[in-house]
Amino acid sequence: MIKEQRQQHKQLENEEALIRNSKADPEAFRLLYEKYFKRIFLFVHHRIGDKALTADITSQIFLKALTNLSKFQFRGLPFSAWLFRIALNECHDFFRKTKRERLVTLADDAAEILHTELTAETGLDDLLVKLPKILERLSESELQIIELRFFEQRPFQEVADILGITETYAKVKTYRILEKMRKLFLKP
Amino acid sequence: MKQKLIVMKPKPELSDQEIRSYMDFEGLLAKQKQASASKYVMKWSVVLLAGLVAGVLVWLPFRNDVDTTPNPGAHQQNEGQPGPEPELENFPVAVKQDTLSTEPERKPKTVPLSDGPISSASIEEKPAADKPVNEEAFYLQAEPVKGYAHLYQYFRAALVYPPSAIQDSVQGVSTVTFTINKEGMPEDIMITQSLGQAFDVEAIRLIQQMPAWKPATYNGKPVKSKITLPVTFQLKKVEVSHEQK
Repeated sequence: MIKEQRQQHKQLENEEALIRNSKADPEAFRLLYEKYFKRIFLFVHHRIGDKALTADITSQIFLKALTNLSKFQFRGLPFSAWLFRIALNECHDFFRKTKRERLVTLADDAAEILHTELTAETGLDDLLVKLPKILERLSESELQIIELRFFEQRPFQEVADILGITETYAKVKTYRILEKMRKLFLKP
Repeated sequence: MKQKLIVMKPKPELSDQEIRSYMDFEGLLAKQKQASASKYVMKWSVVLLAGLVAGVLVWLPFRNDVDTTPNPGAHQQNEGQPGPEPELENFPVAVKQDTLSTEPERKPKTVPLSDGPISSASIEEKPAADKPVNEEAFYLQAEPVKGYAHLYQYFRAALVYPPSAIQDSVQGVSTVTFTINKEGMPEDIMITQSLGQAFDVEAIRLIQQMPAWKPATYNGKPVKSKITLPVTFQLKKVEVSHEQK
């Protein structure tokens, strides 16, 4: 456990040095770009579904990150969380501007976890039928939390980092949303 | 949420190679340079625009000051005048806002005339131009009793082209400067721009016999004021009048 923490700390230190260098020389950003490109690309692709559009949006995300790098202050928050936050905003802007249908990718295991959290009274199939309508009743910020926590199965700490809230608040908010979903689900 | 949602099963994961094919760091750098350049241009445009606006805002009040103070040309002309009028000299500059503040010399400057020897007239009034502005003072310019239109009509009707100058076909403008005294009568008539002896005599005659003027007033009291009028001599019109004779 201690070894893992040390390794994580070292990684953060390396990242901090890379960001510092990138502020002075954009060429130094290449390492960060290569390190996070895949994760950001997949993050966007799960929401957009189209590869070409995903490539465009990912490029836009890194451009924003590079041009606003001077505003990034290292306060123990992973750089990835900052990138994911930009990605989330870009996706949100994209849906707002284009009025495209929003995609939510739900793997089988994630669906089961969600089903267990919501209720055991009805079957999983029933949930999957009702889920689109239930999710449509959530606000964008509520949907983001459910998506990050259950559909992408991220730890609460990461969800909190991406959304810029505390871990405790992320937990509280998640269970409030689950409660709301439960009511919508059980509503005849 | 109003937005349409589609819940779908995960697609087969993209291969690393495929994802890498979308990587374009060089393109990103180029875009970043372009973005920072346009940001720089934008920033300076905003700074320049703000500077310009600030400059205009600072300049505007000064411009109004210039408008309400006497012009230096008028001041010089006044000084060059032999035997200056004591009343004119001591006269504090007072400007009535609606007649002088925005265009102090414009009002009588040009009046279009369809025919007649006089095509235009201009007036300069210099009541003690070198004195400081007294904001409470109230000054009204001198003007013909029946108005400028009537005066120009008189000029057109009364001006006679000097017969002695017909041979030389002299045409042009004589400028006459005179003082309208407290009674509204012209005095100290002088030619400031001469076309010749005969023209000067005719221009002076014209001014001497012109209709009465309302004297200028300072705080309601009549005062002397200096007027400058151009008198245009055009040969063609005079020839017509000779034929008529």
